[in-house]
Amino acid sequence: MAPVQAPMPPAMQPNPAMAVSIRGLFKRFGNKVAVNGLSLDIPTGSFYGLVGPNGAGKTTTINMLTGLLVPDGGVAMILGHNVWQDVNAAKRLIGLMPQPEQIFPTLTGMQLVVYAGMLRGMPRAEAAARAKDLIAAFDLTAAANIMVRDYSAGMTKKICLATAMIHSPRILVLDEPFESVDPVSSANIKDILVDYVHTGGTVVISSHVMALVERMCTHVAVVNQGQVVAAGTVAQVAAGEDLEERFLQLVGGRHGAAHIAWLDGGADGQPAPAVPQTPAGEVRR
Amino acid sequence: MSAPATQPATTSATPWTLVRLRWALTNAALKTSPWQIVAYVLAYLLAAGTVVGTGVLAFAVGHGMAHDVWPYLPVIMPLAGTAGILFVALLQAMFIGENSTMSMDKFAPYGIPDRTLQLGLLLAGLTGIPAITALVSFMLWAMAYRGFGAAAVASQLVAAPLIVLTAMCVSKALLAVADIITDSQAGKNIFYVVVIVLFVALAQMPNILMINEVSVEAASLIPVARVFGWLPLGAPFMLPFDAANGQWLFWVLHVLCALALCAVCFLVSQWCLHWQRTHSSDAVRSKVAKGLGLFSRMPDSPSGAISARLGSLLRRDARQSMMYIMPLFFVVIFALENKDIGSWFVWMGVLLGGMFMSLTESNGLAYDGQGFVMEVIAGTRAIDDRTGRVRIYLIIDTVYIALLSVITFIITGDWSSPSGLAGAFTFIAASWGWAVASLGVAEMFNCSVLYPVPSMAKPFTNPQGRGAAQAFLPFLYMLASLASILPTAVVAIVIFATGNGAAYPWIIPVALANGVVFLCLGTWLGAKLLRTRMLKVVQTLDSFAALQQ
Repeated sequence: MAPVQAPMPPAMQPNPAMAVSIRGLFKRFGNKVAVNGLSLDIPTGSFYGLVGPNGAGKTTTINMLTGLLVPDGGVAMILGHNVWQDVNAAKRLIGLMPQPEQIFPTLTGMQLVVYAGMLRGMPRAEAAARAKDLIAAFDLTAAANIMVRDYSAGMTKKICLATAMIHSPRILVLDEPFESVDPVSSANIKDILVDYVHTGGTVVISSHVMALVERMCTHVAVVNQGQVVAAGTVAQVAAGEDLEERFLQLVGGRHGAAHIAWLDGGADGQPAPAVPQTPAGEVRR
Repeated sequence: MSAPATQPATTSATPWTLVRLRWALTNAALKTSPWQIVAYVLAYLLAAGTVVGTGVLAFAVGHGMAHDVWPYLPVIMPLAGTAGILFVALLQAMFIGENSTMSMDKFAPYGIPDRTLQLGLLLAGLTGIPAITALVSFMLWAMAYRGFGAAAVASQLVAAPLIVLTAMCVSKALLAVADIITDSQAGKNIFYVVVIVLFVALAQMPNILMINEVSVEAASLIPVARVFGWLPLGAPFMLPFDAANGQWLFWVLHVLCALALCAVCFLVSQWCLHWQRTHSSDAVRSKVAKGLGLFSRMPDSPSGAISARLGSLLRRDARQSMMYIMPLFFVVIFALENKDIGSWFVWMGVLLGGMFMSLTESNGLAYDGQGFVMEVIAGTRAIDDRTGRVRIYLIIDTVYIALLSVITFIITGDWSSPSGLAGAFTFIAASWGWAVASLGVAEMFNCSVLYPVPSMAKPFTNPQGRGAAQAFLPFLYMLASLASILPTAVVAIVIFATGNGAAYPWIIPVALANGVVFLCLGTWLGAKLLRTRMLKVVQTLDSFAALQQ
């Protein structure tokens, strides 16, 4: 299953001392190159933000890093283990938060977290005890015996996060963990994650919310067009500017307001007529 | 609902946009797997076969080769037509359902007027392959009326689209009503089961009547046919006879009768749409399940977790519960059909039930849906997955066959004689052997041949493009299931062909061994397949989930 690799020059070798070390990761879907030789080091004990515009290759990278997608080339290493040499061993080190549609909503919250623990080979009693602790930490005790399909979006996110943490992984990989989560819950989750990082764990989050990354993360990598365009501590990447401004400078794509003429809700009470196009696609005026 | 003043005046084009969307989605479904393409080719062949078959039959009837039938046609057509339309409506509810992507709520954000939307969805249905096949077939059926004159032939050409339109409107209205009367999950499950049982019962009715020699004089059916001819479902089938008899007023009234039903169905569907939009579901209550449930009763291992999870899901999944209604249904039907055949015929129901129990498991990962990703994230071994699945089905199948056997013993009374007991236990062993051998086959199928299924929340809906695959792939599985019990079948044939009928209890150990060997083989091979294809399965499930949206 491991992708075929040519011997790498020393500079291209992954760094086994890092929590995550990626070198030359490459993935193509048809004609589209989703990840284009991406290299990245994530230090152990860091709270690492992975940011980038839509389609930048963040999720594809996360999937290749966590054993959910076979790369076409390159190496991904987790705590010194080559992910694709023994993918299941690597998965045991990672806690990847499933997306809400990737769980079983007809189980109760308690059953779902216990299920995640038992899948990892944990004894049932221990899985149940840990599940109880996690559910309490995420303020879900009252909903522990309710089917997840009856949870709100925020509660579902929290239970997904609990399933990723049940086996006490050394690396947590979270794709948009705070989406739909209310501010109070966000703050509580943040405290849990910060505690986790203090124990030597590493958190990798992908997010579009720059303010959140700036506030929570120690490190950040900006991904654009399948490559890392900047990486380091938040201060290093921001380079003295607001992180969002810096992000926009790095990924580009900003333009002035389009001022679409017909987008006035039909001020005269009539919809603006569509502009006919010539066969060549040129707009006729 | 009137369109707002600022809305572009595109509503007249909207229905055709929906038709184009339907075909775009069907074409997109083709790309989800090569099996979909195979299934589509077979579906097209089946459609072509239906058209050709109808044409040949119509030619034979119309050219006098079967002119004995002519006097009965005015009796047969309204009755058979009515039954056919009801059958199609039930079939829609059971297998095809309202298309999930083309369902009304998907278009709610666009503010399309109810009537326009309803019309668009109706047209989208009418331009599908089943509707086109039916239309062409009914038009070809016009040849059957050659002996009734040119007016009858021309009338059938008019009746053909009317029949298809009526069937489509009735089906859509039935589904719309079903959707609002079953707004709780439990209600949906019950309705789903009732519809399927009704469907199979209707399909078996002619057999039951024939075997029990319930004869009906054709003459006694004439008044019934007359009544049905004036009922909206039978009315369009009467047009050729009205034309042949020169009863043009009746002709017009029959057309109006069918059109009135279409209009009523259209309005009912529209009203249901409005009702759904304006009423939130009162039946939604949080389900509470204290403790760990099955998780505390299964082995303390990853495979135990999978057994517990699967068992918990099966209890709440109407889509799969059918497979456990069918064997009981077989026994009941076979008991009703059994007249002077012998109790073995009823036991055949138990035997056939063995094959059906794993039919949904043959596509089990698709029924699990994207939740399967949890196993992949956790790095669960493929053999743990297979073992976990097999364990829960083995428990269910064994308990179910035991209960079914008790019921069959009560029906047949075979418990009272040693020969009855021997025969019964032979069937029970063969049924169990077949059930577990099929389970082994299912464990190989469900990670290699997947096809889209409706979501658990909407068992009546249909992922676009599922129809063709669903018709073909279970058939493939059933063939493999038949092959898995061949060793037992061969031994049984040898025993009876060599005149050693008394030795038939030898089938018992053979069937049990046959089942266990195929189960182990299937579990082992299934694990190997799953290990190789795990990520491919995840991708496939993702693409199926997109179809369910």
